[in-house]
Amino acid sequence: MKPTSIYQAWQYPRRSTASIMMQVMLSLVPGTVLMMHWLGPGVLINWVVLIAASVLCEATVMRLRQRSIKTALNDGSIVLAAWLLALCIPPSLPISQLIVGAVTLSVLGKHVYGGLGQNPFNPAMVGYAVLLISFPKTMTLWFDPNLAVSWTTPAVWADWWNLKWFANPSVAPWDSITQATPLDRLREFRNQSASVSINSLHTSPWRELSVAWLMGGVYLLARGVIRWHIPVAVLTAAIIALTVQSYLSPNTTLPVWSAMLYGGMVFGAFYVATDPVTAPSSVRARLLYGASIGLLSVILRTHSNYPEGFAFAVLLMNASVPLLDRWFVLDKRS
Amino acid sequence: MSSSAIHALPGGLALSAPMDAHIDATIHELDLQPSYYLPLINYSRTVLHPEVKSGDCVLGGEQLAPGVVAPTSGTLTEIRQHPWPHPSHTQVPTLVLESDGRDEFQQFTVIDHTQVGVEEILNRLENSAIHGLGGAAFNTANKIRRAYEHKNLTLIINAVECEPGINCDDALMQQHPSEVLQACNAIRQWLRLPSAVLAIENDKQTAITALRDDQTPDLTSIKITELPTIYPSGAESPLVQRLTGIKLQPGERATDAGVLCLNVATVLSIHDALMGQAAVDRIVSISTQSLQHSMNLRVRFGTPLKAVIEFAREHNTAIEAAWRSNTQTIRIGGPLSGFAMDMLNAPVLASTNALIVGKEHPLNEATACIRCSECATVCPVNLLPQELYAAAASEQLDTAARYSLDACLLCGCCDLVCPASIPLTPWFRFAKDATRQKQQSDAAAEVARLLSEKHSNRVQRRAIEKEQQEAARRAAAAQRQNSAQDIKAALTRVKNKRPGSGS
Amino acid sequence: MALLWLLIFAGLCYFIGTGLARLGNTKNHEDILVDRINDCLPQTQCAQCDYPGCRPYAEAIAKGEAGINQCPPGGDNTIKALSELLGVEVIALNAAHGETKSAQVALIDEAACIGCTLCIPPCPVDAIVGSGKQMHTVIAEDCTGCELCIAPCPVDCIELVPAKPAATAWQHPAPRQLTQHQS
Ligand code: SF4
Ligand code: SF4
Ligand code: SF4
Ligand code: SF4
Ligand code: SF4
Repeated sequence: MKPTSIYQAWQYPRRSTASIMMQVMLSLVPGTVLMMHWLGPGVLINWVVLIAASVLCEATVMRLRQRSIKTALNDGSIVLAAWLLALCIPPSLPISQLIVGAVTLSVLGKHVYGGLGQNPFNPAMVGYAVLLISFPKTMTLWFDPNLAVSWTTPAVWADWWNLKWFANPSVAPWDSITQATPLDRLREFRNQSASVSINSLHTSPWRELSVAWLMGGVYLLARGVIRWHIPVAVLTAAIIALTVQSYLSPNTTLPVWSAMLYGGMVFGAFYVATDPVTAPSSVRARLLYGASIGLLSVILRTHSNYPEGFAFAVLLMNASVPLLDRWFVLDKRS
Repeated sequence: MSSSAIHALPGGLALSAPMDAHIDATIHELDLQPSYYLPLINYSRTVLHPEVKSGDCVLGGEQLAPGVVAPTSGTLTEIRQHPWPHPSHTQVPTLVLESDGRDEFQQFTVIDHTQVGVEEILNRLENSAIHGLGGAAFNTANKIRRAYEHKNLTLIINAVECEPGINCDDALMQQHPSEVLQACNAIRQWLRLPSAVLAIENDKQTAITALRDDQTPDLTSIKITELPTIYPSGAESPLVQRLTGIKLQPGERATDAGVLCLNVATVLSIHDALMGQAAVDRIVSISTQSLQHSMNLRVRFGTPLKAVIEFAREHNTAIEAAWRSNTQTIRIGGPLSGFAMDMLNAPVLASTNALIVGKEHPLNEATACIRCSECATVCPVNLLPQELYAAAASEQLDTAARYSLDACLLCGCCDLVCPASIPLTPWFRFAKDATRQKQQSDAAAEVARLLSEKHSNRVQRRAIEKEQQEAARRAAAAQRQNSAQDIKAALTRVKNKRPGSGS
Repeated sequence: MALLWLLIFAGLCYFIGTGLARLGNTKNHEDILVDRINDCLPQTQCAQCDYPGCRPYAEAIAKGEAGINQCPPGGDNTIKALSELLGVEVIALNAAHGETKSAQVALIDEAACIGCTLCIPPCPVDAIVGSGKQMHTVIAEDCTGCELCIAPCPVDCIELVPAKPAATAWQHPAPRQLTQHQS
């Protein structure tokens, strides 16, 4: 006889993979809406194009691998990965590059390793890293949020259209006032050995967005979708590292709390590092994994050529997950 | 056990029967059956050789094969292939005992444990075929023998009964609290222990109150310890850990660590055996699949499941309704640890602690493991089910062993929480069986290898010997021939030297 | 000075190296390989692989004369073990040598046996006992089920029966149909 059960009879509240993904997406909604509101229609276009292209790509790959397309799409993992990537990239990124990102995310991030559950690297971060390395210019180009927000002026839509389709920022009227994220500015300050003034950083939506991600993360913790170990480890390690840094060079660093809120640290801690597929299994390994990500991303954002180090920190630690698992797992019982 | 401190369980799930459950704790008695079926196989699936033959008349309590006693008096009509309560759904050689209706029992002496040695007591347990009644049906005499060696023995009486839908021990304690306490105390005295712990889950308040009310001053050496209701704290290694803090290593048994865990009903049947009464029955819980309705029935070993179900259907309308609505299959054991059974002429045995009447559902098809580690979080013995699963599904039994497959309780907690609905426990059952099979065939191959080496060495030696003999024979023949020629030559010479003898 | 140290070091290395080599050389490498291959074989000694037993077959594999798919009693498990040991690809069992069967043992119909002793010499594990003109019997624990005693028996009184009863041989099946995404 085939294995059977009567679990359905008294329903242990099991959570399916799809419902976990749904919960995560639900918690992303407020932050995403705020981001669209502050950074303009570009974010919406990114979001739609990335998700659509990724789903399409996923379906094609599943078709080629002769697997069930339905089961692959039902769990929602690809939508979530695309969504996460959409929140990491500048609104002005041209559509052609978005599609490169989507294909990378699905094929390089997931399927070359055998699909969901088999991929060692976080697909969204694989997509991000490839985009950042391939298109450094567009990937670090952020507009002044105060100029790009208009959702109602037809002229602005036309400019977006040009920008997104023809990848030509010069056609946009605001090209002279492009600006960087606070962390980019910080880097400039540091390179010029000037002291940092917070007011010149244009911190505006970043801080609020971080708060939105934090609240989403707390929601996920409360619903038991993620566990506290990784986010707490990431944030604690990052705070400690930033504190040490601000003692060592007080002039070129931001106050710790600002530094935590202006980058992708909070978002990453709750939404990227917690990706179960690419995180280690045991509690102690997860703590070490989280702490290493926090520390590495502070080091990378200070000393590398990129303003934000989170993606690379996650990818580096993803690579060491098998090692961590081996260390902490096999001696777990003894 | 000096303190009643309860250590934390690393995992487990808070499962309980529905709040509005109607559990009938009266113990109904099943009438004497016309026939009883006694499988000639033990729980490690070794076939047993009967000590009787068909046509023999036997008394109740008489030993029929190692570990098998007659549940009543009657005639053994035949030995035939018959189903037994096992997930294999196989048939095994089974003794059929036709009851003679007199229900007479063999007379045994009362054993006074202060007068006789431990071997005699253990022999009595062996001959009375006492098996654990908690579900695993281990051989109780063997278990006590292993534990008896230990100097600092701890006795735990396991009345935890943590799996929802099983309430036979609960009913027993509610109905017979003083017998339970007396029996526990007797075993404690026999093992010369100052005290023993009776562990019970705190959702069984009626039973706890009954026990406490009956606890006379001479019985206070039995410490009633309440445990929080968490499945599977009644399994041996979690129980030992919770009560003593000792963490059993994979492959280690509680008795190796000096802890003897005996199920409460088993303790009662040990007591019966020592008092000269045959222990030939057990209490079986019968529930509807929703676990809303449940009743308890004292059933002799060998009774066909069908008779038990029929009795329950007659006496409980909810069970009747559940039976009518289902596909006439039942589940033997609890909702998590049990298995579906459709051969209802299989008998009730010591391991048959519960029956569940209700429709079985095929398991959902699983999706990919997302490595969320929920399974590891709930695993009561700290395993990593996701790794075990990866190893089992790729049939890498060595890897599975490295992740301590051995220690897995097959409790099913991991199945319940897995968001990908992976049938983890079925995979672990498979891997455990495959491992055992592999060990057996490896051992057999090793024996065969040595035997065949011996054989081929002997064949070789024979061949060499034969050759040597042949060579020696040839040499001898050659020599004989040589000497014959010599003689001939000599003779010729002699002849030639004697001219007179010539022509 | 440095040269002296270098010499001493080299000397030490030499001694330790030769020592280790000696230690490791109680059996030569060929033999060790044959042993390890032999350990993968089921030791049924049935000669279906076209060699007179498992060890000769192991020697042939070690020499590269035989493929890893010639042992029907071992079947897929043996092929898998050999492919792991030798680092070659898993291939299907060569059907020319026979099919994989479940474990069996020989059983002599003792009433029919005429005690001719013809079945004794072919048995590769000496599992048959009995002497001239007497009934013969098979020690079931030793018998590998190789079938080599069947043909010589003039009265056909040996048959093969399953080595274990169905209930003992049964295993929980792998729930593979539920986890097909795991190809
Ligand atoms: S609970 Fe299921 S999906 Fe999660 S890690 Fe365990 S096996 Fe994988
Ligand atoms: S079935 Fe085994 S692996 Fe799963 S939770 Fe229970 S003990 Fe742990
Ligand atoms: S075919 Fe028979 S003799 Fe040859 S290796 Fe296999 S079991 Fe041994
Ligand atoms: S008894 Fe027959 S089948 Fe068994 S090992 Fe000997 S020759 Fe082979
Ligand atoms: S060959 Fe047949 S008849 Fe002769 S001894 Fe063996 S079993 Fe008996």
